[in-house]
Amino acid sequence: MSVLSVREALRGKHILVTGFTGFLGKVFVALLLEEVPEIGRITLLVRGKRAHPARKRVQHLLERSPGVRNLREKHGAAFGAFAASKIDVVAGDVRDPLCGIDPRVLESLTSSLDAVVHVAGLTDFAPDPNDAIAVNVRGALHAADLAARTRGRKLLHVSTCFVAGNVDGPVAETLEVGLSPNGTRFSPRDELGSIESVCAATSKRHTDPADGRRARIEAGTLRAQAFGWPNLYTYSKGLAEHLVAARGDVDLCIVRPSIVECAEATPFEGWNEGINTSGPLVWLVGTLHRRMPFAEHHCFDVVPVDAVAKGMALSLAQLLRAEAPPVVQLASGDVNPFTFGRAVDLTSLLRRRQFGRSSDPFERLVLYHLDSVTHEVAAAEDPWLPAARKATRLVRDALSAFKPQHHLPASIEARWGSQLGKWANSQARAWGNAARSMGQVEEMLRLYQPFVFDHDIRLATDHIRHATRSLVEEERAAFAWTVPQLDWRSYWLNVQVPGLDRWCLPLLRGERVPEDPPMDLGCELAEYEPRDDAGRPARLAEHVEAE
Amino acid sequence: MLRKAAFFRLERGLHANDAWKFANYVARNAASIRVRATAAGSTWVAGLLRHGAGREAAVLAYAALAGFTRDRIELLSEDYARDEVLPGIPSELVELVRLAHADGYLTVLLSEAPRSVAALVGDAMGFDRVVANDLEYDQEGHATGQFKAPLQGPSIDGRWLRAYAAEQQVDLAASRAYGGQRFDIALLSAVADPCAIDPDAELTRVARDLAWPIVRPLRGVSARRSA
Repeated sequence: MSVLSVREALRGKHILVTGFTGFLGKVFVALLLEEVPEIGRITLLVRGKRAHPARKRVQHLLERSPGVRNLREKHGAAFGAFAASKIDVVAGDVRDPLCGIDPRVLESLTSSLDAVVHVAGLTDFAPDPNDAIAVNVRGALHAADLAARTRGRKLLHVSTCFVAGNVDGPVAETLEVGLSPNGTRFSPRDELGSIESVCAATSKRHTDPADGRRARIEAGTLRAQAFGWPNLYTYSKGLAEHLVAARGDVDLCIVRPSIVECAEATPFEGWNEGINTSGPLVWLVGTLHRRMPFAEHHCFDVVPVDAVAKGMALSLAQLLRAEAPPVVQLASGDVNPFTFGRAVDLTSLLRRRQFGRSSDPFERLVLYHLDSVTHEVAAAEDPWLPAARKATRLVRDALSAFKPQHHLPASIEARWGSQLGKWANSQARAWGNAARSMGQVEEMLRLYQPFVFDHDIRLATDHIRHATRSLVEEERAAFAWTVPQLDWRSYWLNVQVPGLDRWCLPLLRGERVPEDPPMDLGCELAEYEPRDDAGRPARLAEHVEAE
Repeated sequence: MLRKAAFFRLERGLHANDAWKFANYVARNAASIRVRATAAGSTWVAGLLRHGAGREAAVLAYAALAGFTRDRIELLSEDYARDEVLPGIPSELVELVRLAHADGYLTVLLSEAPRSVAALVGDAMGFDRVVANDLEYDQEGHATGQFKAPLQGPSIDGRWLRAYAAEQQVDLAASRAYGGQRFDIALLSAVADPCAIDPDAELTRVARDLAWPIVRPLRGVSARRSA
């Protein structure tokens, strides 16, 4: 077995990364900056937005995103200079040909790039297919076009394990181009043309944009399911894989992460961004709703985000050495399975402890005794969820309708009316928020149903485990794939649930998650600029996207 | 070279609870309300049988936990040890353990409860050794309701004690022991310095006959020593 050193493989290399502004992108770039100081340069392809040009967006994130907190803490005041020495920015948009990079920049950029790491993607499960195709499919093709022009001609394409579709049982690390999850033979090129035609035709039939969007989602979802993909997300990621793999002009490694969740250690324990699959499960446990629509024994294939970043780094190193397998799955269920039953049980036990210490009598006396259990009924068929939401709304309505002057005897109203009125108003708001969250969670659970109830897949991870075995000893701490040894109880209780409580559940409640206090980088990042004939940087018009 | 040891019984010694109380605690905190009712009922029946058929009662109590997950049992063990057992051990007895340790005794905690509880108590109190029972789990992490052999307690088997002493290089003739039930008579008889803690009627009679010291710490208030 040949020995693999990530640091040696990346030494002096120039890579371009898309998707830095997303959850996984940040952690991956932060990992490289922390553990591969030998890397030559990382160019971040970022969309500019109105009033927030690309460079400024990256700067903002480096200054205050918790995703790079470990780097700010490690480097302190020198972080800005360090970042500027390793990172530059190129404005672009994966939806556009050649990722929308200014043609004046393209040649000088691509002539020095050794690899493109394409992380950018839409992770919405039921997106407008126009967006899903533009970002997940066309975006992948544009990244591949870009990679084909680079000196290295290498592309690490980040997909998802759930391109496996509506299947059960073992899923191998393979891709047969033109064979869909349910065994249908198809032409990926023709299918791309077809879905775009369907979207265009559907849009024409509806003058109302909202109706048009709904109709496109419905049509696109039906199309996805006809091929064996449960939804538009997996369909678009799956189609992208087929299209990119069908080309022969790049060295390709497709990385398929499973359900990406809270960081085990990097950038810090528990960090998460956005609302992932675990969020609704954890939120629901700890409400009055006890019956969880999850299949108890099915594999809940969670992987910490920093483990995925390490898997990507290993795969990138192999790709640069022309040793990468075509598909690498980053999952847990084949050798260290975690189940939905266990997740519900552990979350319930943790909430119980929290309720036991709560100052809220309702939590201490009622919720403490109500453990959640898995309920072998799919979310779409579960009558309890909608009933619970309706009941919550009824309580909200009753509290909103409470008027002390009408509903209380005069003597009590005089003494307690004002306090009770205020209490009823605040409770009405709380129950209203709960009903809203419940509605969101209900919708999410229906979208997640194929993954949490209908199917039980075990994703093979032979390739990443092989790569880990070949890793040099001194790099094992930084890059080894340790998910097979993950203690699920400790991770779930001490990292995942507290992390979701801090970073995700506030989003479900409609609250904001705070950024870190900003750190002044003390310098500006370089942005890839076109150069004049004399080689001097020319002024580059900021790539501004209308919102 | 042999060393001296101080043996402390957890159930009905350091703590007033019997071992079946832990099974009852877990049963009352099952995820399913139906299981709570049936499992807790079984453990209460076990509690009633305790004094007449100690071993059978233990087997019955823990059989009620069949099907419970390891996660649930072990996390509830933490809660039980932290919230019920440790606060219920009088400070006087905590001090006895500390002094024994300081005097060079190998401190041994003897418990009929599952190791998931006893080990936590032992760690918290600084015991050198913990002897407890191990629940059996299937491959999916569900309790079978049985203990792994050999089952410890409620009676301390004299042969087991001598074998344990030999294994740990303990001189029983230089050791001390603390217990509170008739099941501890063999243990207390085997050592040089026995002490009965809140003894039951039969142990009280034997202790008085043999002039063993009797300690009656007031559970939850300052303790008084009586002989």
